[in-house]
Amino acid sequence: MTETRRDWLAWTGKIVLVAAAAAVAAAIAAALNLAPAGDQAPAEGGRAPLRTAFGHPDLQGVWALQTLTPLERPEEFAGRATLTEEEAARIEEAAARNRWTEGTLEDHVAARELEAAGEIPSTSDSTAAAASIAIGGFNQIWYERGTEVTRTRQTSLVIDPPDGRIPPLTPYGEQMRRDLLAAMEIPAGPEDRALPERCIIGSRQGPPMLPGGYNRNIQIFQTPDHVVIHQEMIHEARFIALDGRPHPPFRQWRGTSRGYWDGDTLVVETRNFIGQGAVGFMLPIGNPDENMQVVERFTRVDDAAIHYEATASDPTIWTRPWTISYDMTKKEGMEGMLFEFACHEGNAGAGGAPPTMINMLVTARERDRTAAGDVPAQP
Amino acid sequence: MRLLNPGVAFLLGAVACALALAALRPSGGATVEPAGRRTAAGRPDFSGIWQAQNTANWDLEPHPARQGPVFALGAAFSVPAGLGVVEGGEIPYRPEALARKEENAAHWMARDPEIKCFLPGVPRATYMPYPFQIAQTPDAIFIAYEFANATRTIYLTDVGESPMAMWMGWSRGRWEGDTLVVDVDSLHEETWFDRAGNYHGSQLQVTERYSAIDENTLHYEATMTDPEVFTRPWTIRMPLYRRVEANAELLEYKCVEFAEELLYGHLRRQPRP
Repeated sequence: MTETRRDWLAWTGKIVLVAAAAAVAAAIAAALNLAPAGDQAPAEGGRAPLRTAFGHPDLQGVWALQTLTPLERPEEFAGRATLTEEEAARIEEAAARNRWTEGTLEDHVAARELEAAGEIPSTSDSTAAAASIAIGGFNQIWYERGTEVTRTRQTSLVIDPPDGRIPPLTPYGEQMRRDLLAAMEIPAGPEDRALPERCIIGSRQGPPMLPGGYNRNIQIFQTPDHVVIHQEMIHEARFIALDGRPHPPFRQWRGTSRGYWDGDTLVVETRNFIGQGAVGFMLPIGNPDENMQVVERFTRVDDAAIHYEATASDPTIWTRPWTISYDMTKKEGMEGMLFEFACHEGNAGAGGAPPTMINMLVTARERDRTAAGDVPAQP
Repeated sequence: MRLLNPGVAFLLGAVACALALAALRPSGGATVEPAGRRTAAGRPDFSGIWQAQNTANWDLEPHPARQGPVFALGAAFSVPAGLGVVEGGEIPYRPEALARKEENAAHWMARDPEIKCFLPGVPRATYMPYPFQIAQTPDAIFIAYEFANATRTIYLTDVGESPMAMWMGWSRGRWEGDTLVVDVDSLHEETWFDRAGNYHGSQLQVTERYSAIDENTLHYEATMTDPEVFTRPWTIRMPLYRRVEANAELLEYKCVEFAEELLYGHLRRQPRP
């Protein structure tokens, strides 16, 4: 045996001895009622709520916002807050088939029309899905709309108003929605396109945070004085202060957020939005303006889920406040990692990406010329 | 030589560990306090808002003051002098790479990704003239940078290799005593180091070191290795300062809207003749 090998064995023996001593030390420390050295307090037999080392309910981890449950209640479930088990299974099977079957564009449009007519169950936010298919979005396989309805089997994410629908827009809200849509049609410049397309606010990033077709994952980090909500969509991070400080005296695209613990529930209040649709465009639900206020509530219900509830109010846009709720589900391993969403860089064509915003504006100028009766430019 | 029998050593070890655990408690009392704040587990705690206070983003290398690029802004946006942050003063470029750096400098306004609001990459995000906020947890350290809403997660657990290149790279960290050492790779080759045209290639690897000087000051180091562009690894060093204002907060600098005219202005609808 070489000298090195003997040394290694001797060290191994010492390490084992120290480890054993540490185990005894932990027992002594426990007996003396000392805090454990780890940052993570032990889960007491898996009982909720899990807690951080500093005693706050533990919301940390990567959470998926995807769900097959639509934002608004489909016609076929009118008057009912909950799906039967059979209905839920049918929706989940249909979604699985849809995802793995590479139908033609016509098939998809036809499917959406059947959904709209109530002939087949709605598998997702069908309006958004149909819109993305109609403009040649992605094949279904690229979407991550989730594989299940919410655990509560609710018929819509909207739980208030009781009909499960976003409340009617005010005349001002309706006009704003129409104006924004009209400007988008042939944009005079980048400002006419939606905030998510400009990579300023992610689609459905909120608050309120809504499930969506892709990249709807968040990661939560906690320190004694902050909760951080990091959204994969356009890499947005909210550092939410818990110390009761006042809101800044100005507006931001993402608003300004303040939080506090209400028992085991994290409550986050957000206001001071710049407006023009902070929830994210492409939704037929109106575009929040600068009067919007949002109250979000996060409750860790068990190992696998956070119950999320959010109420949005903006009396200039909606005729009454509305509330959504769903469970965010925990993701682990490589699935449970957020990756970089370099949105603006892609828009501008950096890194070899197709320059999406440039292409949109080039097309718009071409349409201007056609509309004015000019001869289209030769390629 | 045999000093103690194993049983006695074991018990003494156990008692020593218990005492050490007690000493690590935040309210531990009369123990020698190491520099800076500590987490519940006794690690240095870097959570907070930090900012560099130097001219590294203008030029990592030593540079005298010079006229800024916009004459209309005169003294308000000219370039302050700096002694540089590169160990040894100069970045060791290969000859052909140095030529490209000089060309970059000559075409700074057209080429610098900062001007276009692109994600700044590592280490540049650290010393841009904007604060960044750290949230430190046992498994991961999250950093949000005010510029361009850039974000980055430093993983302290084994997450394997990056599946792709990213503007903010792929960061894997570990503790070496009280120093956080972060290996960053898979960095997108389009990021730069500063406004002086200093750049890297696709093979760049950065090793960062963060340690506490005191409660409100960190020592930051980054060593760059990229054999395609540099003749040897080189290192920058600087302090980072805590933003100690009671109301300090990471605000929004969504610079996309400030770069849209530059990037897309030529595609705007013009008034018809």
